[in-house]
Amino acid sequence: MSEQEYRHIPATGLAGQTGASAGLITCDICEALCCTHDEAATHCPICGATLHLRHKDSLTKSLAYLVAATILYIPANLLPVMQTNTIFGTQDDTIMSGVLVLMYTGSWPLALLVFFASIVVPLLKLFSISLLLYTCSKKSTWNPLQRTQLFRMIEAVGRWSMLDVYVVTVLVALVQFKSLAAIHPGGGALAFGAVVVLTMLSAQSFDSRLIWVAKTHE
Amino acid sequence: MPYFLDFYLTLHHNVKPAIKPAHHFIVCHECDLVCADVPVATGEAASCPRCRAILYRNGTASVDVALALAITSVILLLLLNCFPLLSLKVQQVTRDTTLFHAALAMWDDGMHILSLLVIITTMLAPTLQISVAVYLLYVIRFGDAGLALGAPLRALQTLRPWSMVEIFMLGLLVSLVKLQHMADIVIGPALWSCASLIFFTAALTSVLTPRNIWLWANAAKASKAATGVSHV
Ligand SMILES: [Zn+2]
Repeated sequence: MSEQEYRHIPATGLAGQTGASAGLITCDICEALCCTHDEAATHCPICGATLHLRHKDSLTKSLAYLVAATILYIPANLLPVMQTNTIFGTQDDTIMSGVLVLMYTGSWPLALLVFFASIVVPLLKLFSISLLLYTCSKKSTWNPLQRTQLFRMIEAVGRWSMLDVYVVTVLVALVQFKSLAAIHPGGGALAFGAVVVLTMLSAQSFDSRLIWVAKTHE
Repeated sequence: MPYFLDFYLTLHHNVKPAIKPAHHFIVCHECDLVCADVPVATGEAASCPRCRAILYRNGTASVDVALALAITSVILLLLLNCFPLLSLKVQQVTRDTTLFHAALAMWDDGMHILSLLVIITTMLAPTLQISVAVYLLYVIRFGDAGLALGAPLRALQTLRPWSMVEIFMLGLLVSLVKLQHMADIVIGPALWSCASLIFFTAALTSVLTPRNIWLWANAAKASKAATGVSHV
């Protein structure tokens, strides 16, 4: 984002205050400014969308999805995502071995891309959300801008881990030549798909406004 | 932006009208800072001074451009779903697959949940997303812009992260590379429509922001009121 895109806000009136302290909230959908002191959900008077000054139990919900995702991450990497039956024998592929096969037989840029989408991104998501949940529960003042940017990044790249699920889907659909060659999906693919969905839900339930809530009155 | 504030206030009495539109404020969605809603030049965006989230953008797109993008997306989506993506030839046996049959193959192999996940993310979510977009734009362009636009807009925001056509496209490319040693591959027409659908939906998404929708709806309402007056 370039500097000229910034619009500095005149420091008069309400500017500089937070919505929670002023009792103001802007509707996500219609941008109407609504005035509420209710911490629980209210409805936008214009479009009826649900508004929250703070999402209720955001940290707890996010943590629950995160724990489920972390547990499923283990079978997702250990179990085979697909099984190739050919006349030469049977071969099981995990997420990691799929990347290695692609690196040796295919092209390494594509292997790097798959490595990033299916190994780096899920790990990064699990670590980042844990970090955010920990710092927000402590109301830490540590680098709020960087933490917001981290959150923005994991929200943007998180979906790309679905890549492996789609690769398995396409291969299973195409390679069905009876005894000659056939590919079947493995349990790892199911666990991996679940990890992607659960980490997405975890990030969605996290309320990024909590990053900026600092501990007051020492 | 008081559209029908007074009417609704009687319904939702715990929400009071905030500040007169003369001094406009916008509360940042990402960090909760109250920012001034100042007009920006065309093509520019206003961002939060604290967390740098983009608060709003002053785009140039018109409702007609958006409608054209949406209708093109509908056509591409139909092509994507009707034609085979790839076909594979191994010793006189050819096997091709459409998007739906790919998901169905997973179902037949016992992976019911995964099959549903593929159907939801590559077929259901994009279809719903594009149909809601067409409905919204059609209502604004030709229909009664005073209709409730809130619910379809909310649906769009919810559907957006779950529509994964662009990731599926990358998955197709990876499969292509994995299969190239195994057999002869023929690229089907659906693969091309998938590739172009990505660009059209991306353009549509960038144009179909809540702010644009309300601007277009208000402009449509105003022009309707103006023509109504001139006829009377
Ligand atoms: Zn902000």
